[in-house]
Amino acid sequence: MQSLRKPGKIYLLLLQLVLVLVLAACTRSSSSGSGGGSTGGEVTDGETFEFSYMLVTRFKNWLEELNWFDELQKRTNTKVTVIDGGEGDRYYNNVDLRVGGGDFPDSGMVSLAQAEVYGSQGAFVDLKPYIEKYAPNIKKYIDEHPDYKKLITASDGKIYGLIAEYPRIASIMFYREDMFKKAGVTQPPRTIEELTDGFRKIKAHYGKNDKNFYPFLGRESFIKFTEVFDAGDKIVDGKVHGIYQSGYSFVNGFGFDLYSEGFKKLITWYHQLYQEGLIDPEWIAGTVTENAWETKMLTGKGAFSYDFFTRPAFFMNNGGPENDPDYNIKALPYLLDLNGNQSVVPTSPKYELSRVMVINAKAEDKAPGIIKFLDYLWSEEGQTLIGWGVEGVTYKETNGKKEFIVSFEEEVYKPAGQKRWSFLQDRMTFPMPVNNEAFYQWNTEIVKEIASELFTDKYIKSYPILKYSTEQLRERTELLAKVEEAVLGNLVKFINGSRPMSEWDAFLNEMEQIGYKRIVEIDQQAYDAMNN
Amino acid sequence: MRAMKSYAPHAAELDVHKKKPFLRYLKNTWLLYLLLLPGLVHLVLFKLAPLFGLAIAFQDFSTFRGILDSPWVGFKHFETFLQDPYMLVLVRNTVLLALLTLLCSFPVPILFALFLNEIRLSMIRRTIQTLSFFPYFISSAVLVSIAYTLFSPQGGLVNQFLNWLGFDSIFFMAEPAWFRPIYIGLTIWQTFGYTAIIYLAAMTTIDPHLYEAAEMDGANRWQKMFSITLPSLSHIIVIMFIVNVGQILSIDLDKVLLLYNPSVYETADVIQSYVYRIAFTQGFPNYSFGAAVNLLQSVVAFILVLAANYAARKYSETRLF
Repeated sequence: MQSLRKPGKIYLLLLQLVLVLVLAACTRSSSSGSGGGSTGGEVTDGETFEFSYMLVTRFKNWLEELNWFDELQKRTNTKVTVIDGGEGDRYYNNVDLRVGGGDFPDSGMVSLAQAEVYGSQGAFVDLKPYIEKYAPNIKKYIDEHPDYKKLITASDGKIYGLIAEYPRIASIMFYREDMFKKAGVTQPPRTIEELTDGFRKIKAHYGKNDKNFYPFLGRESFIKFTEVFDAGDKIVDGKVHGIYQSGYSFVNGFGFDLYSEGFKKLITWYHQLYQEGLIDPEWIAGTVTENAWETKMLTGKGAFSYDFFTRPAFFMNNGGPENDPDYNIKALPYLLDLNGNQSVVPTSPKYELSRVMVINAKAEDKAPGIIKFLDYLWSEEGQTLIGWGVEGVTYKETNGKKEFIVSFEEEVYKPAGQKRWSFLQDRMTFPMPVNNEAFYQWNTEIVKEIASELFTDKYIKSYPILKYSTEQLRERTELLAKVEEAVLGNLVKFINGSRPMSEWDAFLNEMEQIGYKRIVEIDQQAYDAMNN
Repeated sequence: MRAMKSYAPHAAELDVHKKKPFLRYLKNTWLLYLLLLPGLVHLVLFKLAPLFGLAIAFQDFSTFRGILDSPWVGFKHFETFLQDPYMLVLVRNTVLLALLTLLCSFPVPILFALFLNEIRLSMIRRTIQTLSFFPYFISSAVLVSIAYTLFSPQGGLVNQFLNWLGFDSIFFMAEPAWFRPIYIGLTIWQTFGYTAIIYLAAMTTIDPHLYEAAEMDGANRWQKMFSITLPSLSHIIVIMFIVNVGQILSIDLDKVLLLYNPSVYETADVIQSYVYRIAFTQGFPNYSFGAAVNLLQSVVAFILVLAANYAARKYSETRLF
């Protein structure tokens, strides 16, 4: 082979250099790894205590924008370095990688299963002795909430993480009041029959010129109204009914008792809606995106939805009235059930098991400082700060009643990255109790009205949360991987008519064969273990 | 008799002669080996070394404990996978989807390259080639989003066209029977331009005199294409086929996860999506199970590659190794 000429050699050498630099640059930097914190253990007066804390990307960004977070650090003489742990499901995979790779920060958010599995293997600190010694407020909450105590206590009796509380909210029904009125529905429906009749009138009025108009729209899970048909998953007299999800079906569509008579009636009703063109077929098929649903609601392709409680305000403030001057969305009170009684809707689970704060065993010397920092958030002063802010700056108190003096719209809609006062307690910051009263008040007038009217014991109820052992979780996961797809796939067929309702009993047998009832057994065992 | 002059070299000289060609060879080619080095390092670090991690398929792996301290469970995960009756459905869906993708997508870049090569105006040929290349750089998420919009029964272009022709709308994305054609169609659209480059590059090595000789013999363009161009590509076609056979069980999981919904589970649920659900989305991740299933798939793919290579060696002059 001929030698390369000199210029060619130089180019090749340069190319080598570039490749080596690229390889080096692609190696993950360790600067975002274990985070900062030069002090540890007991903090002497005047010395700032520092620790690192890992969160999901969007939670990290939101936390760092909060003025109350700065105030909190000032009051507790603490500096918290928030580490970006990635977004979505990847976050929990990243937790696994960091725990395995040994560069988990001083503390971070993990799932309850991760806290207990890795905690029992020695990755995370047992918080129990530190809570006993340094956290009187946390201890008081645990003692007063035995359900919380059961959730955070692992099978070995230790506490590896503190779970974040979630606001007491539920999905709500909302409708285009203007469209209902124009179609001749002047009174808000109170029963499922009245609602169906309302859909028919709206379809007749708006659907005659638009074959893509469907009164009932939605996104993600289409299983709604389980409370009306008595078809929800529940625990009655110690017996679990249905694959248990604490009654909440918002995300994955489960949250019902497949074998109840009420559920069959619910699916029959959905089938009727589908046949009459009263419900969006794309939603039933599972092909509608969140953006597509929003567009349809904003442009009058539908008139009714059952979704997150802030959505009416979203549609009113994001183009609804611009598209149609008459655009007006109202919340509908929860319907009466089939027996004519007021139905009660399950809230979102009170404790969010995917938001558990743990302390790295390698940072055990910082555990006292971190626990003291958290304890402040559980104190009355801390709860006021995270719920209402600073008196005279963000709220005022008149006759023992607090009200905000900063504008929700001005603060919340500031551009991303800008500091703001915000008290949206459904966003994960640190594990602590939620100040529900403040949470309902920190919103637009529409949402405040909805929350004050609907989020009362008359209409909503929180259900127990079950905790599983690692083996139960594993078996449940393997069974759900088949059962969930099989159930949802068949429900879609029943609703769109490609499988007749006469095959319902055969369907129930098929689901039993693939393990539906076994999952319910596991849920029952978990419930029994928690209550014995 | 005069003593014969000994022409036999001394031992020392022999050694030098033995070393010289290699040293000379190295001296002449060291830059090329240096050029190869980063790729080789990358291959060892990121492809070969991680193979040892497959040990987790035989363990109840914990990322905290690591491979050395996680308990061994033998073939437990393989048994779990193989003994589950639902596996038959998953294997059927996976094999069908992979086979159909191979059969439909393999010839397209070849035909495209053949016809592109016939375009006389180089500017038009280059433009078409460039445009065909672009879909390769579109992410699966954007691709599927385009598909949802195009095929939507409520205002999608395809259904509007069907309505104009007098047909009813078809809910493509919700019909189990349409899942495979849509997946295959998207895969072909995304990859045919990029893959055709390999065949176009091979065509540049065809001796132009062959075409001249064929011209003189009165061959038309079709005859030249099928008598000269295609046979000249046979070696690369066989090699590409062997490589594709090895990837036969590798479904594009991103596309499947984005395309599948409750309406199409019966055809869309494949081994990878099932493993994804078990290993990564519900409860506590089970990396060992995921590794076990992937190891099984890799073994099957390896056997298929060996078989394809053997068949190629036996029935043609070409083989991969």
